[in-house]
Amino acid sequence: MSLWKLEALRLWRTRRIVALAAIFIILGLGIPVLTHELPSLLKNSSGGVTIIAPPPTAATALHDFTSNASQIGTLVLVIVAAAGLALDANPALAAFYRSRTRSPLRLLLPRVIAVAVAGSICFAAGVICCWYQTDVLFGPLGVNALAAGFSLETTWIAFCVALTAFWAGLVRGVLPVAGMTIGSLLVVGFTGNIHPVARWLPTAMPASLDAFIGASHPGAPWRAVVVTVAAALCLLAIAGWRLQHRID
Amino acid sequence: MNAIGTHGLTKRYASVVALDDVGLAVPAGSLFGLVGPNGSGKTTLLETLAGLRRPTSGTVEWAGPPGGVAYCPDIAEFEPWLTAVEVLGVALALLDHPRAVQDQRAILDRVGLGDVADRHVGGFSRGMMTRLNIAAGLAGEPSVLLMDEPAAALDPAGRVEILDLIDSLTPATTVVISSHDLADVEAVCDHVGILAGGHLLYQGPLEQLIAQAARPRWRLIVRQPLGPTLDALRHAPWVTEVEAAARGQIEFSSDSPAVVEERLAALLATCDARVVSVTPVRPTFEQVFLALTAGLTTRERDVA
Repeated sequence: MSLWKLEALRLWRTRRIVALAAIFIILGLGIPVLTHELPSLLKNSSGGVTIIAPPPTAATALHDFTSNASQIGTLVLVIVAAAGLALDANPALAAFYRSRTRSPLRLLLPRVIAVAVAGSICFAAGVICCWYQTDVLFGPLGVNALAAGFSLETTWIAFCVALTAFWAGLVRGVLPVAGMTIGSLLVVGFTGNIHPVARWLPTAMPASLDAFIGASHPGAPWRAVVVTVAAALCLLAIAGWRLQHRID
Repeated sequence: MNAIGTHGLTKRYASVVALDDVGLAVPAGSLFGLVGPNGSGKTTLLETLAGLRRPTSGTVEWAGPPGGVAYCPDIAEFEPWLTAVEVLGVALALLDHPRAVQDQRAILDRVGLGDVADRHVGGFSRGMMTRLNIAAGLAGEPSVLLMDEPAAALDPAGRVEILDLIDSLTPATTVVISSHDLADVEAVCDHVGILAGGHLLYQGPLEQLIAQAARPRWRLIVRQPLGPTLDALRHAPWVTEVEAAARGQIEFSSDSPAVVEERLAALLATCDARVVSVTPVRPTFEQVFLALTAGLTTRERDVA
């Protein structure tokens, strides 16, 4: 059995991929409906108070989907990634793996790539659901722009998984790895509010999908893409080095 | 020729010295038993040999191809969602040692898991996990197999079965086992190493250890009454210890087997003893072990 098949089995048999797919698909199916029905909901629950909201559009629906997917989806992705990447969380299991290979990179890379690919596929399923619902409820969307935005979102997913791998190289347990990763993402998120550096940070990725669809088409955030890819590679290299040298 | 060994191996954890200048030499093809009190450094030594711990100083030396050393930890865990045969598949993939699935099933058969080869290991008992642990160790056809307490979790029948299996691996594979059960070690091992407080007190052939370390002792069976014979032995200057053992039996020891051979017959004749038999008593490995580690404090024995 190859180590790639092992990781595919890990995602399938532990039902982690089901959790990932469920969250993105539920968001993809539900958010456009919620956006479409929001004016009616507000009207019926306002208790006589007049609430004026802008009319929902396809761009609004997609914006709501991406903002939810990049928060709740990222949270689930990080937990799933931490569960697979915390190589030394269970010492007895770690002994099985580590006593049979001198290079933890052989263990790390299939796990990183499997989770990143699974996250991207599940996100794609969510995007397709969202696209279908939006198309039905609001009218057609630009598929090319949607695809461009999606490819940038996968860069964000890869960065999140690499960041999880980095923390797996520094701390051992699943919860500490997930906690430190989420903490780091929050720090990156806060830093993304600082205007001069916002365009350079990975946080520019999750916002890209709805920006491509919406009227405020900003063009590809190439600086952020370069920084994100470089950061992900550096994080993976550090993770590999740390896991190699972690032996007591 | 040694299959695996260490030279000046020292392992420290802050102020605790787990291994102190250990020079282990495991002969190729031997079944080597590593014994010692709790906290003596057995697991640390095995894990260092397996590359799971980095020594503070000293070296591990072994003659064989990379990946030729397999390690079976005392507490085995595998991904619970894999089947037993898939666990072996993963072990082989990690070792880059492809083998046919039927060979993997044959290994599982050999350790008594043939019937559950396709069951998820999450439902395995501790004994079954121990067997799978050994199967995973054997899968890569290692030249050296390191096993930490291999029979600890098994019932008596399983214990005998696994010890027989371990015995059958030599001399093709050099096997090092650590165990608290000295009877197990005595039953299967031809060489032993005794660790205490991180020091290697003895290593070498088991028979030689028993012959060297134990004070010569004999069992004398005489017809009743025992009194005159006991008195005569107690007053003999060449006898160091005398005790009435079971009914009609006397056990005594002496520093010199040659003197016993020379003078015992005359002594028995003077007290008109009706001698049934005189036999040398072979000490058990447990007795030798306890004699060797007698100087250790209770704390040193029990530190985990």
